[in-house]
Amino acid sequence: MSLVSEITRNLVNEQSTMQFPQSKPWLESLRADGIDAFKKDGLPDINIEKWKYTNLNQLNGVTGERSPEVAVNQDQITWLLDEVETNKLVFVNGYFKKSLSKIIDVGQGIRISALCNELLNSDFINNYLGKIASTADNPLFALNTAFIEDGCSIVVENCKLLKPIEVVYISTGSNATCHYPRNIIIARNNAEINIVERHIGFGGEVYMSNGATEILVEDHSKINHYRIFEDAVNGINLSSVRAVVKDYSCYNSFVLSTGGRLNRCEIDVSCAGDRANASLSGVYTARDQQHTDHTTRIEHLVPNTTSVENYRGALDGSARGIFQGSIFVAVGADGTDGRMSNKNLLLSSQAEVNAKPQLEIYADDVQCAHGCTTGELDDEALFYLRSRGITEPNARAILVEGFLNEAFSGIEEQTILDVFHEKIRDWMVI
Amino acid sequence: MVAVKETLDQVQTVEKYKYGFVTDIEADQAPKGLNEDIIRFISKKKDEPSWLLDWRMKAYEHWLGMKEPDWAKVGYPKIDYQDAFYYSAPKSGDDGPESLDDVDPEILETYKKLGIPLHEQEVLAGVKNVAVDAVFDSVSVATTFKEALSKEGIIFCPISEAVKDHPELVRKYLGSVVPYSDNFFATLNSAVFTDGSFVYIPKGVDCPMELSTYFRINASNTGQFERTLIIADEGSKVSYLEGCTAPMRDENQLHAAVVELVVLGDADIKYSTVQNWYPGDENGVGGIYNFVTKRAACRGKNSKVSWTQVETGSAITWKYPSCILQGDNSVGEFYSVAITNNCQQADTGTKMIHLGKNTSSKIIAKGISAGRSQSTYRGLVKMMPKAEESRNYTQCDSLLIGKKCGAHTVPYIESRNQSAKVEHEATTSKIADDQLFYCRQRGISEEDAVALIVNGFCRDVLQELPMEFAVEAQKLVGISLEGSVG
Repeated sequence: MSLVSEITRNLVNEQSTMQFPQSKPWLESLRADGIDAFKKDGLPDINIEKWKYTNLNQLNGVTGERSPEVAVNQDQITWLLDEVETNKLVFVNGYFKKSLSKIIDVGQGIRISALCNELLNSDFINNYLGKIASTADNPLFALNTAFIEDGCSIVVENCKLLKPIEVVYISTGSNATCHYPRNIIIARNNAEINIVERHIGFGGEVYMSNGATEILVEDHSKINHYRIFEDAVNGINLSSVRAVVKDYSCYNSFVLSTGGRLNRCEIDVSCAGDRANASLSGVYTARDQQHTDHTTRIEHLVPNTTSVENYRGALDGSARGIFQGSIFVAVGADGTDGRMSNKNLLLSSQAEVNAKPQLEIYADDVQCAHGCTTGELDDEALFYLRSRGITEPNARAILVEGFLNEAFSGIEEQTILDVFHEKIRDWMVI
Repeated sequence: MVAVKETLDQVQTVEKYKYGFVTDIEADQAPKGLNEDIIRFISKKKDEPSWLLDWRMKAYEHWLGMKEPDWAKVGYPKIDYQDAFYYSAPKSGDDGPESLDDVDPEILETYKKLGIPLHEQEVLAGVKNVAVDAVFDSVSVATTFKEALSKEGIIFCPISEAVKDHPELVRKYLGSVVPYSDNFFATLNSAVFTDGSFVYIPKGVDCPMELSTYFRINASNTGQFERTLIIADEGSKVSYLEGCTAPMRDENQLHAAVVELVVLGDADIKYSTVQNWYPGDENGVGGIYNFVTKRAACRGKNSKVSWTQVETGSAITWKYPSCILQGDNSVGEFYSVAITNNCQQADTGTKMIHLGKNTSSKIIAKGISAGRSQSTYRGLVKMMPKAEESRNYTQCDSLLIGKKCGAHTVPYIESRNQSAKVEHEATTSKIADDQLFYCRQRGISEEDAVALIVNGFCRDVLQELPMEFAVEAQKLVGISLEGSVG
């Protein structure tokens, strides 16, 4: 039996013996759907085209057991947006920590809470949960659905919530276990949400965080989704986002991944309404034996939708970086404008990059383009800085930083932009 | 303006698929189906040495355990490999033709109709200076200019003849670039290949004329499995052309060829193809399944390979001419135009594997889809750890004509060397309305305007073709798109 199928079996066994808190029939059936879909194909292996470059054999050592609830002290958390009076949610091993969180905005179209509360107390979330993403598309989404229990649930209607919501996911790395945060973010009817997500890990043990997020933006709404992945050295973070963007709405995603042994960040967006717009930006940096994989797919399903994608990577040591981007234009989706750019820097002789920028187009009145480059730092630029008395390590750092920062030029909120820049600088210094 | 007028004239003078006729000729065929006996039969017919039969058998055995690839973006009903003839040769007595006078006049007539001169005096009288190897179904029927070439030490002959006359060369290089176990269709070819061309250019020789092979599938229900092997020894240079046509038939016919190029130090091979197999009718009935493996190995320092292809025919094209850039400073180029119309499907591209230092490659791919066709560019650029300072530049552009077609780009970029630079860009769009308006305003009909604009779109590639081919290719671009507008 291959390693991947062995881990699959462990995960399925674990699910069948799980004792979920008392729950509703619709939720039971959603979980059952998830485990059935997952059982069918199991964890993907490298023969699956989308997983060609990422081998889940790296999950070796993960037991499949559900991570325990662990207490975390307030002083173990550093906030990115401390000075701002904002909503803050903390999840430890996928469980909501009420004592560490602070929800200040409530009422009038704003509904921010832990998913477990929504699941226990009302049927409201049943309107959305599992309706935006299908378990059939993505085995990791199916796996997450099989274990739905907690996560963050944000629904905003007819209200612009400009102050960012800060969400922190902590993995304590206890005994090679797994957890499955499930998030749902809905903005409708002239709403706006800014959400800053941060994934951190403690300790040196292996763990798997398999997060899944469903996003719906409709009717003149906008979501700015900022995410930073800083998992622990042996952490494995496999996250999937499924977003549907409808009429006159906009989904902006900014991802920075620097941590973890294996980080796979998959984003799947459908532009499904008139003038829908999606913009995906990302930076991945890796060193030593790290493996980072960014896989995106943007579907243009109706006429007059637009998308922009800009990903940059810097790879050092023996790290491996993967970028797989795909633009799909459906029959009849005329007036589509889709652009994708991916640039990579190799900073060492052992590093490797694999890129697959893909176009799949079934309509003729479209403008689609992609560009992709890989290479090393420009000697002339380096020489320019050196000739001005800047030491080589500093000169290199300046150039790499400038190269990576460009991906985030779309961030309008200065405090958040500063955070992203600072994180990139931190990576350079280590 | 003169050039424009010329293009228009050319576009107007050519009819639809004018190569669709059948030559009524008695054929010597092996029984239908594929098994060890058929392979022995082919090998015996060709009077092959035992090592080659063993090689075929190994390939067949391997093939039995292989799965047909399904990753390409093409759809077709399952092929019954037992329902085809694997050997068909024009009946011409027991031995092959000794000279052109022995060749069946019907066949000569066929090539004449196709515009391929086989009589050397005709050739000399005309403008073309091209040596031709004509392959009809499973066998080579005539090779011209053999003597003139042999004076230079160049070997240009059917591969079945080379097996007998130059076994040491064939044995050394056959399967050295595309091994018998390579992929489903190449393995099938290794087991049942019937004929094809063999070229050897000795050290330091610059081949004085273009070499050309003309492939023709005639018999119904036959698969054509040719195998071409070109060896350019150190410091030599050759330009090779390949053309192909087939009659219009309702059934689908399989063409699974293998082309191997071996380029030694400082040598240069330019390989051009105008592929115009029968594409099927407007409803997608009939047409050739063109599943071809082409690969070049640049083995020495400073060696160079250039692939140029114009793909207008075939119901399905599955073809990835590749370069393995092993020698330091070696160069690989790929220029491609793929035009699909009606129900055609094309999944084509290239692989550039950079192994040596300072190797460079360039890919220019233009895809044009019209009607209900699907066209895909699929390519791989791979920089291995030792490919210091290597370079690749890739540009793939797609043009869409009509609401029901599709154009797809699937590039794979894998870099494992810090100093290697890879650049890739791709665009997809339709013919700009203002360009079309400009032409229409000057009294050019819509269809001609499209042909004109498309020719301009393909210019970067077409200009890489040798002269005679470039003219033919330009015409083809026009006819292939007939009926795609309005």
